Amino acid sequence: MSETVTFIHAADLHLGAPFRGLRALSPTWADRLVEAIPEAYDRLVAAAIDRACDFVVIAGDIFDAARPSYRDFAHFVRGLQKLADAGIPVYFCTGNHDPYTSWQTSYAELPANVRMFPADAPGYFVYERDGRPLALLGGRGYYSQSVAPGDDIAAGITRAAAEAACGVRAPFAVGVLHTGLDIDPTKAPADPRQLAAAGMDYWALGHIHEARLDDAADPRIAFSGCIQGRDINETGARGCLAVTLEEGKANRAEFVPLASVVWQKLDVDVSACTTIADVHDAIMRALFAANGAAQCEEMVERVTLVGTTPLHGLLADAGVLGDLRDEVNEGYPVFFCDALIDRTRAPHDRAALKREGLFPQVLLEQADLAASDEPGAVAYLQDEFLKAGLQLPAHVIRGVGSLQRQATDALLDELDGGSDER
Amino acid sequence: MSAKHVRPSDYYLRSIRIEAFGAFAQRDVGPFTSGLNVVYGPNEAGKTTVSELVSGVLFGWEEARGNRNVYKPVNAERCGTLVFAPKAGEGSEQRLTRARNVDGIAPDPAPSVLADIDRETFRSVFSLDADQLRGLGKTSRVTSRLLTAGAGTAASPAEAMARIDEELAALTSRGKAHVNSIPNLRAALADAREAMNRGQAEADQLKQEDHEYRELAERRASLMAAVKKSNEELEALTVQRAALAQAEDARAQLEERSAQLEKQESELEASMRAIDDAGRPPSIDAVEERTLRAQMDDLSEQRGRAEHALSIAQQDAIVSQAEYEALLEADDMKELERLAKRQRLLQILLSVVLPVVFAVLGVPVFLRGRAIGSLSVTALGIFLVVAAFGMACAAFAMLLRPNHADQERTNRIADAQWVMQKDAKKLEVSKNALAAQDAQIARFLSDAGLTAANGSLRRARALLDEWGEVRADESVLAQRRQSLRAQRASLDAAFARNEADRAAALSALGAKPDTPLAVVDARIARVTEQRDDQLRTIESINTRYGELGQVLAQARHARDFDDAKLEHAMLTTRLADSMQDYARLLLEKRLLARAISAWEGQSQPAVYRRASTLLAQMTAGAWTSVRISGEGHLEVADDRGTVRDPLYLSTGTRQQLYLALRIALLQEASNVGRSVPVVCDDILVNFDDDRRASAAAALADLARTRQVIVFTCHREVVRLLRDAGKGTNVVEL
Repeated sequence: MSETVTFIHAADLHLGAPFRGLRALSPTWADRLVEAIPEAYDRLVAAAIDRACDFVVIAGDIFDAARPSYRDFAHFVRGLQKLADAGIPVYFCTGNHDPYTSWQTSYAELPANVRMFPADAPGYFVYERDGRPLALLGGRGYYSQSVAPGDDIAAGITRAAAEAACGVRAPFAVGVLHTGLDIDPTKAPADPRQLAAAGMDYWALGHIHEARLDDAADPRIAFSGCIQGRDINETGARGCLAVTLEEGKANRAEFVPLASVVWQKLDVDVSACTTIADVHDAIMRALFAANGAAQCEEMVERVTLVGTTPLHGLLADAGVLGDLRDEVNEGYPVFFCDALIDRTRAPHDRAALKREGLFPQVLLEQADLAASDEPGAVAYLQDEFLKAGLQLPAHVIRGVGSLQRQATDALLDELDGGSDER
Repeated sequence: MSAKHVRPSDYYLRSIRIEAFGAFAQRDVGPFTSGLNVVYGPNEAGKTTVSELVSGVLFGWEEARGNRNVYKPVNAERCGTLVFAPKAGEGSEQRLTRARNVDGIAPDPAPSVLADIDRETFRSVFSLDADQLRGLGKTSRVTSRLLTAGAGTAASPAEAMARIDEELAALTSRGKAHVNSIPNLRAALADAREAMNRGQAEADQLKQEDHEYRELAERRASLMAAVKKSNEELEALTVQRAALAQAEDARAQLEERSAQLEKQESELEASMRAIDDAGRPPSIDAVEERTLRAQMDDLSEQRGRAEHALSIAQQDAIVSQAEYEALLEADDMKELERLAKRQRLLQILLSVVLPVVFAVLGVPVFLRGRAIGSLSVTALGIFLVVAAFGMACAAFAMLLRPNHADQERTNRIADAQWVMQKDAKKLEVSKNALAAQDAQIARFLSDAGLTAANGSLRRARALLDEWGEVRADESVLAQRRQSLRAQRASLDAAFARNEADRAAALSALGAKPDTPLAVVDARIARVTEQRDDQLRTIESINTRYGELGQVLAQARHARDFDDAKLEHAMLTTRLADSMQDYARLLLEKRLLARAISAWEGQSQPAVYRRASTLLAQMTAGAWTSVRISGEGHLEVADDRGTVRDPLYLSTGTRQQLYLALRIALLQEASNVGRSVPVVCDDILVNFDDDRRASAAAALADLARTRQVIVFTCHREVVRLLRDAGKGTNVVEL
């Protein structure tokens, strides 16, 4: 009979992390989001217990900060204790957010079922079932906030090394690392080919926040992704992987969604809308469609209105847009529209404007000139910010082209504000 | 310009209704046409009032400031209505009314008649009087405004610029209303960071407290174990101490009992010795004694009988002897005889005397009785005679009885002597028998070892009794001795047990066999103190332990830190947004500024070209060019190249220059204020005839695109304007 091992592969819990990129949450949603990550962690624990898996692997970044709050730490330990009560061991390595140094001054002794991979050198553990070694685990964590460029975090972690270190052989070998692999070269990168050649049956990796399998049909190197998306860039379902390794068969990794709040970025084309009510309906349709696709409990979404519409002038009014957003948020408490962004365009016939030879033409000519001189614009902004006693933020420098376009559009809109087309 | 044709939204002022304005009330002025209008009225007819009214209704009444005549009626509110009609002839008219400034214009908002014209623009460009034509006044700003306003856009770039400046100011404002201003957000962010730092510090603090809590828990557990151990030890000590104390008490009792026992033993011994000293009675057993006693009883009985017999014999002997002796006592007997004779004599005497006495008495009594006839005395006499007879008979009989006494006395003495001899014999026999009995008894007693009785059975019995008592005493003593021995044995056993208990207790205490109780007590005291110390320590730990437990339990649910982080994240986002907005607005401002300057560069020459033409017409070629100097000043030049600053022009020429400039502006910015009338209040007074005619022509030309209303008190001006334009509308006040 061929041996089988099942385990939960999770990473990047980021307990204690605030949600980023939000502006003004209602108290209800602020409460909701503060609880979202701990809740996702609870689901992770529940998933491990419900599936009666053999063990749980957490590949780093358990906490968002090297000095987690007492509440977060206590919550983490409670979860571990539940797993301990269920007889499920937990193997974890440290990540760049919660490096090894921070664990040395842990608030409490972790339960006995928890094993931490060392950070200064590879470490190995044996998972035994009924007294027989079933799986060897090898891994290494972050020692401090970063791994020195020359230091290969994956170096020396091989099946042979695990067997030598543990002194036993086992049907399965699992590697655990917090690494940028070849995706994020700044955080302990590792060569996938090197990992593939290490003789491990499965590499449970952390750091990349979305689930990535090198081969969906037979994953051998996988990121489980974070358990809860934290900003608008971490859209879609987030969770962990339920991995099954079976001798003589392909590996299986089932994605288990854990996030209770899912982020979505939605572009809603309102060019067909003739009234603000139409726009609202279009937004709601888009929300329900996205919600259906994500199968999530609650959804935080950023809605960008696009398309050319005569409503542009109305939508440009911050009050109208705010009211619309409020209406969307009040309609369904499970949806929270983080930001409603108007990127619609008035039906300006730019070519015509340029031909008319009026002020807009001059404006467009100047806009074209400015667009071709982004460094000039940056220098100008730098100057003006300095005059106001402000530092020019990097995101503004990066987005200066877009800002110039927005400036042009805003001016054209305004100058055209009283036009008959309105 | 593309704006020459009439738009549907263009209006013209058709009439003015003065509801109340100083001296004027309920008065209509007009109607006007959309072209050139001349309002003629002599002084005091209300020309200035009407032109002020137009400005007042449109932009608000002028408030009195300083000495300036604002034509404010002293005793009445001002109120007027401007009636606008569409130039294209379609649509309804617009009536604009204003009473008090605070009420604003009605209807509000006003229809788009005013469009982009503000009060300043109106006053400096649309509403002209001689004073205003002396300079540009604030017109340079207005010029730019007009120029860009006429740039073919709905909103003027200048307005846009103002809006941008406003928004930029808002973003850098510290005012509380501007929640998204950069300084405010930064301040909020600093607060949030502070809150986060606090949260972090709190987390660190909690971390230490958690550590302390765990340490305390450990210490508490070990102390509790120590207390438990102390208590157990104490319990054992107390138990052993009690055992020890009990053993000691028991020992004391045992010793007391031992002493008593000893006393009893010595008493017993004394008794024993006393018995020994008193001589031990022969040992006879009960059967022997009984036999002995029975024999003694028999002997006693026999002796009793002998004694009795002796006694009777003695009695008899004594009696008989006494009798005999009594008989022998003869004197006694003579005496007795004499007595008997005397007695006889007495008897005879009595037997004679008495009857005689009786008879002597009786017979007289009888006789007397018979004599007196008394029956009773007779009877008594009879009786006495009878009685005397009876007595005589009796005495006689007695005297007749024989005497035996001597006979008998002799017989009796013989008898008594015999009896006395017999009884003496019997007494001797009895005495012998008793002596034999006593000898037998003595023999018996000596045989029985009762010599001490001296032959007395009674004493022998007493001896026997005495012996019995001694034996009984001896037996009691023996019993007591036995009991004392048993008691002694049990006491010894008790002593041994007591010693064993003590030893066991002491060995349980781990003390030396001879340890006194005080040492144990000292040890108990020490352990108690130690335990109490531990308890006190636990108590002091418990307080802190409880506190920490509570703090940590609360901290497990405390969300302040998370809230602060979220708040911080949100503020960061908003600050980034505001920064971006600020940058975008700056870019807008830059772009707009560049566009305006480029546009002015294009359009200003047109204004100056037209102004030059107009000035040339009005000055009949004296001045042919209006332009902006290199330094940005306005200057005029003639064909010969003479350049002059307007300051050095004559009043008339200067007025002509500024009129030309304004007409040029109004014509060039034909898109601006298309529904607003150009109101001129006697501007041509300083012009000479030729120049006046040229100016009138220029106004007429302006009136082709705008409604122009000229107020004048000069008929000549009316004529000039009528000549200058076809269809000039003249309104008389």
